[in-house]
Amino acid sequence: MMMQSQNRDILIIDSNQDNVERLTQIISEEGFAVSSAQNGMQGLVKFYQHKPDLVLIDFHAEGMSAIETCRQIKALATNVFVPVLMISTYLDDEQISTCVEAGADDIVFRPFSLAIFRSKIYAMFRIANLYSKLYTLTSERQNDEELAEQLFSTVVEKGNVAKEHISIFKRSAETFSGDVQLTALCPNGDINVLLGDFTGHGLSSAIGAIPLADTFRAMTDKGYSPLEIIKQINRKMHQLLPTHMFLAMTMVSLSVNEQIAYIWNAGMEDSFVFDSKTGELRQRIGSFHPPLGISANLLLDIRPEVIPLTKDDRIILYSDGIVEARNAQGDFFGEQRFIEATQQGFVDNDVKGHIIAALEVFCEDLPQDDDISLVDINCDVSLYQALFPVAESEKEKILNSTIEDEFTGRWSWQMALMGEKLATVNPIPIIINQINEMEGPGDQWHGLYTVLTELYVNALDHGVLDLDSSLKNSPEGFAQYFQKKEERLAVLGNGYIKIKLEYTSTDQGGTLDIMMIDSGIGFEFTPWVEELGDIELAKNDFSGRGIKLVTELCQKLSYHENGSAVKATYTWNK
Amino acid sequence: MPIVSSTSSNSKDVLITVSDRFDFSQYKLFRESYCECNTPGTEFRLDLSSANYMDSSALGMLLLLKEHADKIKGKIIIERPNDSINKVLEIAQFHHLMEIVR
Repeated sequence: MMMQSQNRDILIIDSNQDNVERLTQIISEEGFAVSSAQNGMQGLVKFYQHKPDLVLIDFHAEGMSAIETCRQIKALATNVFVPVLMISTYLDDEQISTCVEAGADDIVFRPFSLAIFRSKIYAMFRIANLYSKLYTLTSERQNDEELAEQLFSTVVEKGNVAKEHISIFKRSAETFSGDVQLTALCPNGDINVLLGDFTGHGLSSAIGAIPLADTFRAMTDKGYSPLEIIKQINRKMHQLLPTHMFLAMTMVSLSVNEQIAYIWNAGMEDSFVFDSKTGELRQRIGSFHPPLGISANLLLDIRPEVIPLTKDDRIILYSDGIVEARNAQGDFFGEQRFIEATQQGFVDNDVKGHIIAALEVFCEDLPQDDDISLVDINCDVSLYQALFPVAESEKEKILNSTIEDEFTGRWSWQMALMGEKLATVNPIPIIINQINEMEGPGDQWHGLYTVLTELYVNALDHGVLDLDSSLKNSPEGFAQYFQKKEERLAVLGNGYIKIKLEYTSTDQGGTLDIMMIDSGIGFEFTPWVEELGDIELAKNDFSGRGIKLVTELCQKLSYHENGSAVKATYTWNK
Repeated sequence: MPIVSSTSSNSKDVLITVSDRFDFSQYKLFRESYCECNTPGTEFRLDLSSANYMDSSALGMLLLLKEHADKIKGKIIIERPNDSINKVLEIAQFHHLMEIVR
């Protein structure tokens, strides 16, 4: 097969004029364009000017040695393959290997037949064609990948919140990253943070990232609990990922109202809680569950680490790409260097910068072979309250408004949960969905979400389950509290909670009367509610915060039937 | 050879020995070491005592082996992982999924 020769340009570098003329004639007869140079230096200039597709170098060309000329030509042709044919009457073994080392693609010995010379040239062009095809394909693929990655990270990360308080660093080993960092705001003002690491890296490990981000955001938005979100992510990943792939992840739910972090670690390196003032590593949260996507269901006894927070605390999450980064000697960067760099980072108020710098010094110029992620969560909850509509001003608006509003619409809605359904169904997202459906979405539901959650948790914990909230006065008691809760949920019997909502819209906004009745025996509500009025809750008092919040958010709150029935009125202005 | 497997005479027990690095480069050999064993109730023993490194793609390979073993109602036992490999297994909490004997 002959190839089209029209656009091919061949450069001859030879000091012997007779040789040049003979070669020129043969090449021209084949239809190629020819240029020639008398020595190596001139050859380089012509190469630069004409950008030929093939170069013939006579081994004995004058000036710069043929070897050096060949080497420089190969260096000039970086993005394209330009074959170099060396021509000589005789070369010894060493000369031959030097030619090849310098980049020569073939050698032709004089005297040669026309047929051999021609076929060598065509064979060279055939290889050059392959190279150019490969180059086009590779660069097309790279362009596509980069474009896809841009779209992809926009979809995955555009919804992240609180970027000034939750610092995120990511560096991928390839265009696509198998690490995913997500943050989202819950309807009650809590913050969910997720760091995930899919098996492997590159495009194949990134396929799960979009469904992961979608599930995490949609469920956080609707107010599902972190455990429900993790369950759903697990289910999704199990359906989606092939057997050998899974998602290791850590999820942190920062409860702004309770000043507590709930942490789930499924297959990630230890998460750290530091006191940023002293640099002390206060706690590590090791993996306590296999990565997600392996089995259809989570282990039964999964429960989070519950960490009471102070405003100086920082939670640090990272992927194994950091601690398993290696230097030229094959040593790992390791946890100790990571901890020290973090502590140094607190001193200079630049944790990310210190860790990255320490890692780069350690690895020098070695290529990175896994994705690297770092998430630094500032635990000063007051920072996050600013992200959220303030309860106080809402209440004041209502106090200042005139009460004679005209009614423009009413509805009521109720549901009852009984027996084991109390352990498996969380009615709050369902209610919020109902209200969104009927009244449209809006910021006013954030406060309502908190009210409903607090009332429901109280009805369940202190009503149906008869748990003693004073247990929650110490961090140790917390664990005990949750354990008891789980035990009692397992044997619910005839317990029930009934919820009724009555909605009235007004010109200014609307009023929602919330009634909740539980099967419990009630409690001493009068002194307790009065107490809340003037006593500032002690800092370490973990109980009672919830109801204090409800009194702040609601216009009215009253207990009936010994405390087993509660009525709250939530009002808002447009 | 980085991966050697032997089947007992009753073809009920398969011993797979992994040496050196247990990672994706061993994928083909590892798969071949068990995919022919379809005797119901086969016990796959994976001796890791001469392996010194394991990455997350090797965890994925263990899951493939588990899938195969589950299909034929067989069993997997991971034996003698060294400290660094044991740490990888521990982070992944694989003892919930298969038996690990140190």
